[in-house]
Amino acid sequence: MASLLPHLLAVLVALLPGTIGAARAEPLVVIVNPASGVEKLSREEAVNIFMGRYRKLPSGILAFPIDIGSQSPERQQFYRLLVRKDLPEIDAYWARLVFSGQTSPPLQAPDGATAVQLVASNRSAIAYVDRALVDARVKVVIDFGRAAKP
Amino acid sequence: MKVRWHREVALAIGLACLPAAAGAAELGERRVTLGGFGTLGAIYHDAEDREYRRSTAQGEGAKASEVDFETDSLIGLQINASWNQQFETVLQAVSRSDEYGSWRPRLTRGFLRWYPDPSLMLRAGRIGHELLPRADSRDIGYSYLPIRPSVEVFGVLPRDEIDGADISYTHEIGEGIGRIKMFGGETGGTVVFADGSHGSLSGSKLWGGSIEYLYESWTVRLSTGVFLRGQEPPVDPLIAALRQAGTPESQELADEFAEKDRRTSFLVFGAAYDEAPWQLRLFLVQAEGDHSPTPKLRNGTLLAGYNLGRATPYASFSAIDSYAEIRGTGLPDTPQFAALNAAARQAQTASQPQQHSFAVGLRYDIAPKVDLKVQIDQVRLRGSNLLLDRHSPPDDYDDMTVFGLALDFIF
Repeated sequence: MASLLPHLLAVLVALLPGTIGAARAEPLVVIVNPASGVEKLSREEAVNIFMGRYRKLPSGILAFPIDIGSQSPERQQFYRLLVRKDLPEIDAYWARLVFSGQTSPPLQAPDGATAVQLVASNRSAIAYVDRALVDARVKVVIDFGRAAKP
Repeated sequence: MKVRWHREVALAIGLACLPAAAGAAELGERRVTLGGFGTLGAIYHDAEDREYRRSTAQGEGAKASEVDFETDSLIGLQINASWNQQFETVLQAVSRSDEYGSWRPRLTRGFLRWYPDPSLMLRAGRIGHELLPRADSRDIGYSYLPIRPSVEVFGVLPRDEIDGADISYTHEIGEGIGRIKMFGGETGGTVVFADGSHGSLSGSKLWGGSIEYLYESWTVRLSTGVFLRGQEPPVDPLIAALRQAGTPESQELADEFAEKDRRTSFLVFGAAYDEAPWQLRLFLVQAEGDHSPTPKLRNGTLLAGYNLGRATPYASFSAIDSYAEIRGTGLPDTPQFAALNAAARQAQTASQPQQHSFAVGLRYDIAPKVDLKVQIDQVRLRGSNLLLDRHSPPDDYDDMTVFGLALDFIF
């Protein structure tokens, strides 16, 4: 019975709303174009860009954020990590901004590979992808896997 | 008819100007997206002779002992057309029960947005204004917790859009984001008073500005604005009768009612806190008209929600109170003058609601982009014009309980 307890706790923790996204194997990273002039990005700057508050990269150019899908595991994990919100809360947030006509949501790429391609070919683009998809065409400015470690 | 013709032309021109390469997914290329939002809502209450509504723009409300599907229900469609990374066109139409109980669709947004710089945004056309915080999204039920935004705060203004322009400038201040915004234009709509009579606001002007600071989970906002009414209130026979009465008080009252330049000034404070699992909102408003019978109001709302995954229980308190002095005619309340005294009083109280409500509810996200809400409102009112009461509104406070159920969706 005692040996079952850790497993039961693990299942319960995994079922908590805040930990659904964190169960993904690959850590997410935020990537930009190497020509963007950005070396690193703070969490608060990423919040401003992806939540439509202030779409400007630290180098001064316009930021063009990219989401992966609408209900993808990557999108779910990213917003849990960034603002600790689930997708219904994120969708509600964007519904207010979009239908009030204030601003537009991030462009939706169908998958991570497309997001990498878009970032590689656009100086303003910024996206989150699995670290395994990163190659020399893009630059990592936030590594959530590394940030999560003490 | 003329206004309708202009709207249709504006819509046609807007559609004709949409970028041709619909659906292109590359950054910076032309892109067209079609989206929409809607609410299917049901209301029930048993307060006889009273119709519950969510805003003074509605000419019909939820009647007693009937399940009403019209007050909270609506549907909207929106087309966003991006020309490039700097220009975007937005068109939106909404169908809902209006001042005549009609569901005729209305063009609610139709503007060009321009980002000349990451810090600067300009919009021109039919735009939503945020004189009251988040008033421009009050029809988007999926975007907030309650079934309807506070009736006591948002129900006073019949429209949330202007035909005009706004400009906003955003900049980093300390560790947060500061934003300053100015807007101005023509607004309209119709106020339906408690007795069912209509007051047109067409040709009215609205201008103002706001400063906002966003820091981590906090947003704090202060805004001010001026509403200049375009038409005189429909009290001409009353003005003539007051002039005929001949007392100094009745003359002064007639002069006040006859004043064409009617301004209402607004001062609004808003604060929002969004840190999972909490959602908190506080909005406080003061509105002061310079000539009777324009309103002198203080209203506000406090909302708290606690997210439990798919379910979010919430509670709110909202209130509106008038501090306008109800002036007499100087005439004795004899049978000869009773009708005139009553009409003068009615004209002054028609824009002076006194009402507060306490609401508890639950939002449940049943599927992606679909939620279900259940809510109970305990409303206390006295002579309020936020609800329809085709009989004489009571002088003493009265209570009513309103049950609501709503399904919100976006696509």
